[in-house]
Amino acid sequence: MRELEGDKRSHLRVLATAIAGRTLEVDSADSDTSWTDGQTIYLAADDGPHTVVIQAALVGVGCFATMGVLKTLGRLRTQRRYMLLEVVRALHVYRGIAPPAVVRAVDNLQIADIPDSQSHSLHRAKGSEALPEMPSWFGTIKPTQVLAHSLRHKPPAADAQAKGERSSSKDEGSDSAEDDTSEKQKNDGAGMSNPLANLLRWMLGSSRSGTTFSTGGVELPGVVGRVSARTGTQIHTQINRSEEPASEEPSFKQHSYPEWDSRCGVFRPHWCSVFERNVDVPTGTQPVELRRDERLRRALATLGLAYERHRRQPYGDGIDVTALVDYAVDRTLGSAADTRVYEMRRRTARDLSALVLLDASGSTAKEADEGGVFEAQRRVAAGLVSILDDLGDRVAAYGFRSWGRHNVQLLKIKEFGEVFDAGARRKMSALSPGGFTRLGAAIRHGTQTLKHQGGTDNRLLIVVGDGFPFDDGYESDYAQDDVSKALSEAVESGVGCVCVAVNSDTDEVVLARAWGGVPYLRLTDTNELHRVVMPVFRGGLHQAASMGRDGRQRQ
Amino acid sequence: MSAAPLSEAKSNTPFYIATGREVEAFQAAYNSCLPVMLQGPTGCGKTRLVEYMAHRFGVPLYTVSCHEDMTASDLLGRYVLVDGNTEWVDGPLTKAVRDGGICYLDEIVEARQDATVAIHSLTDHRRELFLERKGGEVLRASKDFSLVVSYNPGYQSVLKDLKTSTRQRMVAIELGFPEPDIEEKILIESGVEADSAVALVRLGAVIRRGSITGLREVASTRTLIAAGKLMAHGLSFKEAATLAIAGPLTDDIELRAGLEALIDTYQPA
Repeated sequence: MRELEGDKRSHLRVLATAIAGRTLEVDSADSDTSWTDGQTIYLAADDGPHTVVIQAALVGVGCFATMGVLKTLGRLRTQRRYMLLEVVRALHVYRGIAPPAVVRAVDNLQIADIPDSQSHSLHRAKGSEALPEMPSWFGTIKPTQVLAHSLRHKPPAADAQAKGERSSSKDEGSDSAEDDTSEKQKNDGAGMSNPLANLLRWMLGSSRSGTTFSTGGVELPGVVGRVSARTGTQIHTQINRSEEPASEEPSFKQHSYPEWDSRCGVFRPHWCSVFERNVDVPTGTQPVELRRDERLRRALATLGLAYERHRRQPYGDGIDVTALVDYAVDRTLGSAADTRVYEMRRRTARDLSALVLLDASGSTAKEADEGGVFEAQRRVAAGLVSILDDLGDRVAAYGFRSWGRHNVQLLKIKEFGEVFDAGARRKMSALSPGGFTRLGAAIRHGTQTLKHQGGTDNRLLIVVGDGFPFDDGYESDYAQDDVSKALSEAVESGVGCVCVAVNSDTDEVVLARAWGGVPYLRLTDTNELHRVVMPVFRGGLHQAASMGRDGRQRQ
Repeated sequence: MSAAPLSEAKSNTPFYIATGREVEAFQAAYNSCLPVMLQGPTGCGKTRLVEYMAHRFGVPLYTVSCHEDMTASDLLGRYVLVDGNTEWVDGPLTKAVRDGGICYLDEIVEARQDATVAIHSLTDHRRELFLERKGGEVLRASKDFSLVVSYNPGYQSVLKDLKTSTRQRMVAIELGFPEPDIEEKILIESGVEADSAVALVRLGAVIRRGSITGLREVASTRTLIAAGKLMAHGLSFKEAATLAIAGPLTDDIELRAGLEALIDTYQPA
């Protein structure tokens, strides 16, 4: 079997994503038939882009969306007929966007009556009408793999139901004709339906002081030691998960960052993998609510200003030639001349790019009172983003969380080029807390993003969260020193950093060690933000301005 | 800044196919002396619509591409020195107001505030232009005068937006990319072969789905036409589409390679 080259695979990813309308990965298949689990297209060695189009169209059109349908696909004949009809349906839906060659190939099958829904396809697949044989390059479908995959990626709330569905699918799977050659994926699917997020939340909620473990930089044992006494078998699942999260949490691009090992005094190169991910927005999500806060707006309006030319001034450090010509004209005409012929430069132009990092880890969900800490943080972040955006600053917003060093996620709420519209606000609403806080990697990625996409001289990284670093093999002194290091790297490169914590009970000692170098704002009442925000933000910008050379060069 | 004299515009009708009711809307706004704001993504045909309408009304079109350093004088006119004396020269807006015609301010958000404020008195019921520089001369707009601005709301790099008071004075006509069959017609009219036109339109449509992250813009009708023109001059489908569509969309090497693979798949058979 030929291994699909890494390059080629990543190139086809764009095609798959474009057709399906959402992020899809492309990987090489273990067998000689291509298939997809709804997240990744496994491409056989002999198949090419056209197969990717077929499989991506099936995903895009929702062929795998309804579990109930997939479960009833027991027999191979039904499966193949169902897939054929779904391909015809998908290519009909995507007629306007699919490559001409693929459209023609499907047209050539000459199926006159195009199914209009998944259930229609299923009904006909089970019937006796004559259908042509499907070309082998279409690949195949593997319903149980899709089921297993979607179970792994279900939110905790849907878990009980998911469990039920999984077991029933297994019952029927006994006479399933699925030609399964990849045992590995199947094993992954089994036993993965644990309420992981609840577990993680419970763990974090029970011991947040984080001083019990001093084994910074060592992975996993700390986590196991803490919970194994109570939760027994669930642990193994969880470890399995965190061992290979990178393959389970696919993204368009992986960024790797070093981590500071303070005990050895060296960087661990390429230690953390950061992925920028899209936020899944469930249908019916309401955009995050924006409160009108004129006081905060007024405060932020004075932030990050740059010089601007002011013409027709009564005095100034240069001459406004247009005004001078007017003056000459008026004098020649003998009328009263305006003597304001100077121009001056004053700090009035907006020149600020800000990146808001919203802590979306499980630790923020612990408080039950009035929606919890996370809700308050979300409100603060939404307020800052909307006001800065409105004032004409460049603003981006990301949620962040992590599951070990291989899987640090930045969840895209609003990128620099985007507007803070209902879509972006829905993404902000849809964020739900989960996972851990590998703060150093998130700060490093935020800094890079600001440096490359900010495009202004004043750059500010705003972390909205308690600022308490905690992850797998990332705790106490080790983690705090890494955060401190990441912050000073940022400031030295001209990016100001601040932290806004809402109702945080983070230990002063931890704060001093991790955040001691940059301004930290502890907020108890979010309505008071306007009174306290300016010294903090301005302090952050001043630090960067006085220390950063890189960022100042253009002035 | 360019002003197309009437005689040139008349020689050949600009090609335009309506994608909706924009021609009727434009006509109605023109007849009621209301200024028009065209909204829509880059390269969807805003400028072409204005050219077409000016030709239809038989009036000259004064196009001004707004930019950051544009002042009110660039629109209204200024005194210039002639033989030691000063002489007033009308700007494009003043010309259109005086003699009748469409003054089209392309990408108006790019202009400085003082330039956009100059149009205020023209855009309400007064329809007057106040030339402060020229001793306070007040010009009443000719009945053939029409002000059209274009405005691309998604375009954020300029860090600014049109003032509400300016926006309020306009009739907003929204343009989108044309439907596939219309876009195919447009491409064929621009000299693209039918097969290639179908392939290019589908390629454009799939990129416009917006699921590929990291692209600067989407593939506009303009880029599709550009690709078609390159093909008419002997380049292959892949070469032409890469040059005209993939290249302008991204600098990211990996993403570009992905787009090339995508383009390859859309090859007309």
